[in-house]
Amino acid sequence: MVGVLMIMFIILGVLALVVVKALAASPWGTFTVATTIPIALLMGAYLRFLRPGRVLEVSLIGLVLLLVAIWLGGKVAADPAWAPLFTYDGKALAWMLIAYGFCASVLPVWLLLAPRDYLSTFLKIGTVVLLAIGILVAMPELRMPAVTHFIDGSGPVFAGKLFPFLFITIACGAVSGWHSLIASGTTPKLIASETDARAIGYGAMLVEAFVAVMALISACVLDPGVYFAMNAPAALIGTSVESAAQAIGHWGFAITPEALTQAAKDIGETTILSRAGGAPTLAVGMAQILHDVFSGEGMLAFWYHYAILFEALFILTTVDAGTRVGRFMIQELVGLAVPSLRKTESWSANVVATVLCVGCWGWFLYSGVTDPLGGINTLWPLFGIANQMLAAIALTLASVCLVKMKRERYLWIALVPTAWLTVCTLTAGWQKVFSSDPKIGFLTHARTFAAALDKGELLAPAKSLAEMSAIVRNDTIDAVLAAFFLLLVVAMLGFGARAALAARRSSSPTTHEMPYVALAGARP
Amino acid sequence: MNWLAAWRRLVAIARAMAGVPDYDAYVAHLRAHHPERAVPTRAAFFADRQEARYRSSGRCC
Repeated sequence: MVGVLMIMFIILGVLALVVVKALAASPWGTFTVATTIPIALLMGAYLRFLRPGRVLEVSLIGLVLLLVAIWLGGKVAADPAWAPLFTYDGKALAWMLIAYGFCASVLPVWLLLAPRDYLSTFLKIGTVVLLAIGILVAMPELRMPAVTHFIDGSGPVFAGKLFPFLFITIACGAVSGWHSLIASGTTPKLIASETDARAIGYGAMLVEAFVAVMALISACVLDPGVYFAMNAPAALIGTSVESAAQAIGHWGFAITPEALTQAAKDIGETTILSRAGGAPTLAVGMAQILHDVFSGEGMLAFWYHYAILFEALFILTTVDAGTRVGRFMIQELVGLAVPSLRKTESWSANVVATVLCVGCWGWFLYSGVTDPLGGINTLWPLFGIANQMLAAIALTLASVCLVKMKRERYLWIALVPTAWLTVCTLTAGWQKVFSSDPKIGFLTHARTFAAALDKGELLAPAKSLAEMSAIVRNDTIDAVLAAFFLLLVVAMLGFGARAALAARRSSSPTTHEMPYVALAGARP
Repeated sequence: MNWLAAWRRLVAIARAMAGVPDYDAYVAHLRAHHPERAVPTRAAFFADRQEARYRSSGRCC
């Protein structure tokens, strides 16, 4: 459970980081995302007092208000008096998100969490369908070459060889540990009937993969030069369009500084450089595809901010729901030592647990934002490894379950992906910790910077000795976490093998179903 | 299936996606199987189900 909690903190931190990266120095984006909070409050009050239970109706109202907010955001960003009010750097946004996560977790659910959930559910489904139709109608050309020379492991966005890093960089779209967690814990409580489980579980993963393929298409329809300008860290491309164009030209992708400035202007932003995290890349690609279908003056910027809003909204939904779940888990865990913390009705216990939970993912978020290396590029491999390892653990448990049920005939279905995931994640985890290439191995990277720090030297991209020690500290923590995850997987494999062997010795199935337990308060 | 019924079914599916159970179905069930029980108002039913959905999300594993 501690491991699960750790993985959850990393996931929440990385997701929040994606939002921060997308909104930093973008008054338009910040304004529209900020207005979703009063819109959600309004929807909550409407659903509670005016027209209870009319979820579709209120979601439609919410959608109209959102579109107005996007349009208004453009006006705000263009206005010299208003724009500075919504222009923040990453640090300020990180603190706001941390404060938001705290508030959302302690407020009553009907006020903020639930209405936002409804809105983002319908917006998500609608946008996915819209994008799918857009791709079919626009039939955009893929401009990224099928294979670049970065497969040798020198990639500017994520370093490392195709094997194993491809298989941990593409996370939930391929196989997702996070979803196994939700599918085993949350889905069973939400479905109406057990027979729906297969359609919902399998269907959800198919849709997830479908969205992943569309995200890949969106990234590949971009000019490769624009793609690398958006995703490479400032350490490699500098902070001006000239230095970026030069560095990217050096990698073999010709792009002019003017083209980069124009690309930013087209989407109503001041810069597109180093906005790693996927959200802005997907938004620009999506905006291009939708613009091909529904074109018009200034519509590219509208679609870009629509896409950013769509992504920020569902990431924020995950962040506030995740903070709530994390808070309950902390209350249960710490409650073992301090029983008074277990009372989920108690305000003080709730606040303490929420502060702990928000503090943990907030720490990852803040260190990601202040990371001179561009947080996403450092944290994503760790996130990918944690996520795929969780999937490997889930598949191991599924294999054991099959053995216990005496259905070994189907064992290979769970065992083949388990074996592949184990090989990928253990190799990737091992390389991230111990590789002698400072671009890949956390420890080597930390040693390089620590050695320079001892001599009082500065290594790019650090600009001060404090940043140097921040890099060393982050590397060390990342290495410890990666090593912890490695041990966790190996231990689970060991336990799984032992349980499976024990089950094989029995001649009859050894699975047990928990007896039926009536819900507290439920009438028989 | 006529258009109205198809639309009702679509609405029920969309609501189920957002985790909102169907009020009309519940009332119909209550009337058919538990006629002695009081029928909750739409508001009470919605508030109760919303509360139940988010309250339990803590004990996930």
